[in-house]
Amino acid sequence: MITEVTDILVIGTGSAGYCSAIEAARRGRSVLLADKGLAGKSGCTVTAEQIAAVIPGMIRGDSAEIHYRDTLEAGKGLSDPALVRIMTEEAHRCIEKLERLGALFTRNRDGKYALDPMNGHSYPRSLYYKDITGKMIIDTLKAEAERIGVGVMEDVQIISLITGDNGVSGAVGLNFRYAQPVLIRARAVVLASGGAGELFPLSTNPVQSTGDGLILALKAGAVVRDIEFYQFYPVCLVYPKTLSGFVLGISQFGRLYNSRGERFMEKHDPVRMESATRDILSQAIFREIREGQVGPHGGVYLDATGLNEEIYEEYSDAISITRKHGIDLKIDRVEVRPAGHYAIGGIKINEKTETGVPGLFSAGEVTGGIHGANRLGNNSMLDTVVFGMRAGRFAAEYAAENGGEKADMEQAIGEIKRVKTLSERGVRKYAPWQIKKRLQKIMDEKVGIIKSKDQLVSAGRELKTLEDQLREETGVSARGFFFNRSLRDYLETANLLILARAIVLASLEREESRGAHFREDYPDVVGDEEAVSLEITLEGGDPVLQKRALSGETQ
Amino acid sequence: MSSEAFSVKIFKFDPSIDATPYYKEFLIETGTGQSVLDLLKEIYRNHDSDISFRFSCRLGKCGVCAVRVNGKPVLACQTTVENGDVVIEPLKGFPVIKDLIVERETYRDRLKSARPYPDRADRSGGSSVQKLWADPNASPFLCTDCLACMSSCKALSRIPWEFPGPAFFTNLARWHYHPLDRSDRPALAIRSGISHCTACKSCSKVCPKGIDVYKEAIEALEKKP
Repeated sequence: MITEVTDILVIGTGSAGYCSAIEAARRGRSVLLADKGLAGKSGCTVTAEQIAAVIPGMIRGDSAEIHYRDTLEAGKGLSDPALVRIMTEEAHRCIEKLERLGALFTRNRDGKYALDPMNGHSYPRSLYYKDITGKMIIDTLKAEAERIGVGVMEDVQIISLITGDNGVSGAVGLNFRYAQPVLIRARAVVLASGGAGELFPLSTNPVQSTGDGLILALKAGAVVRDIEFYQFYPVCLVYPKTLSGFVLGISQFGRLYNSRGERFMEKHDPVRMESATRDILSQAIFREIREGQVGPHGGVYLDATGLNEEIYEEYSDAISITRKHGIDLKIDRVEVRPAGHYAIGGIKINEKTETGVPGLFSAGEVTGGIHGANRLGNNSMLDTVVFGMRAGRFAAEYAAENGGEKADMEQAIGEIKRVKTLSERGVRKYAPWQIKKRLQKIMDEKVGIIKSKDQLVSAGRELKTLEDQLREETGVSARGFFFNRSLRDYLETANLLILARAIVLASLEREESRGAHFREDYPDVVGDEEAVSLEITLEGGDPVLQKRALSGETQ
Repeated sequence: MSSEAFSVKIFKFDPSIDATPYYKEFLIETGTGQSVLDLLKEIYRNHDSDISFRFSCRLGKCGVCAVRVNGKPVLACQTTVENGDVVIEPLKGFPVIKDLIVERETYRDRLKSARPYPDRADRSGGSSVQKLWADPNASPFLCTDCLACMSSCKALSRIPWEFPGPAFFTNLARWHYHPLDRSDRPALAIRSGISHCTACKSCSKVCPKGIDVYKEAIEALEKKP
């Protein structure tokens, strides 16, 4: 067993993880970053295209206050106003910090930022660097982390947080590279492990997005809120396969058709058409798919031909990538459909990114409460940067005064034994990937864009069966820990199943349509003032639910 | 469904068990539009669950899935296989950890000596950033560290101890073009052995991002400012 000792353990190496690590390290704390895959490569940041932020003096009339109101408006009464206030007000300073570290954002000749409009934002306020903004940010953060000596552990999957009377005292993981369990003693832990795109068959996320952080937090006693809100990116390529899940941001300027050649957005949102919000677009496309109005690969058609050259220039990366695969967006129609994109709900945090479990902090997509019932485009990158930096700061402050208790070795050894037993299972009736594939089908058809009671109840039953099958009849064919993909698939599928059941539970309870949660049997949208937050905790391995009324102070 | 099949040979090596690497052959059903990554996933699922390979974003943006296909370094997720026989091997020029996964640490450690961040930069204020700002508009910023170029480099394969490889210089070029960086990257390039480049330009030919590595990194660093 490998043992590591650090002040702060950060789980996940996307933007939120790196921002936390850098802020904590700058305060003189020792920091260790852990990632299941290669650092900076396994999160969504590397594929992100823009970041929203109001920079004073850029656009006349815009302000952090309006950004705050836009975000609350999209959140439909479920956003935590205090968190949104922080995100929108600290945006400017965080962008400035990123720039000082070397991040580049495209500017006009007059030195002002080039800003893009985005659906739901009152003013153009999305910063970008070509369409490699996320990569630019993560490359910058990685370089800075390296410069100031942040430690990085790759190929390490955290399987459990170690908790005791005084909160978190570390974590246990598997190092697939060195084929050994790892014990990390830490005074504070920051969960920044991202979303769970793998819940769905088509996802814009990297394959590592399996909701591990949500389950780690739940098992440690934290609360997960509003997890029934899952955002779909409406327009993603389904074909060619080499690009399935590829986000086509250019779609807001294009036209969508079904297989009958109808521009179907005329029915659903005749004013905004293809620039409608993501939930409206996703539902419209999902309906066409359900009615079979699709092309040979199961998607509807996007026509982005005949657009302004400036638009093509801006999406040059998308155009050159698709061209390599034989598609010319300037000439060809392409097949598209919605893909799982963003977990809007997540770990409940306060202004200091505390989770309620002492020593456990959290930031980024794995958290909930900021985007409420629906997330505005380009607010997620901002969220990762603002709350990532805060998590680092508050975790560092906490670690300066707390922690250092001996990790509960019994707990750690118990976890390692559990996983070791799994690794010795051998072949059984099912392989973990088969269970995961069936889970994805259930989620896509019954728990995704359009939900109803009957479908949810049936999904809940099927998921329970899958969980039994995973526990009893599913093997782990490869042995040991050395890059054991089937073991990793098993552990991830187990996490996805708990999460899927939690989503079904909350989706059933929420008998209304709001934001990204749409119930066909309750299509009427309830007013913001009646908003109730649904909180999930874990009891005996099963998700349980509590309702929490939100005070109407959304302004 | 066609029942035709084609052969996929995969480099296998688990140093904890195998004395030497070997190739394992799989017969895969002919399909359309399959990527190399699809093939690897199919093999993991239905043929050999102990095969090790990396992938992450599936969209050619993260750069972790680079392997050699019929000798040519490519991104597994972005390469479609025609239904001919295929040999899949790890990138050349790196020690193999297991199967298609190679060891990147030696390269990274070497890169550390090149101070891979805005060096001697003024990090104090935002306004200075704005004054300095000019879009470098340089392709090395697109580099995903997939290391495909390293696998194709003739100088690196011949004298790895003298020449750190094209990815090293692409990284250096990134900072050379960076408006905040104040260190003498061309001088560092000379000390790092840039003169050993044979100008074969294989790096430019294989880059999945289309970076003209030779022109935008090697030549740019060799040019006197």
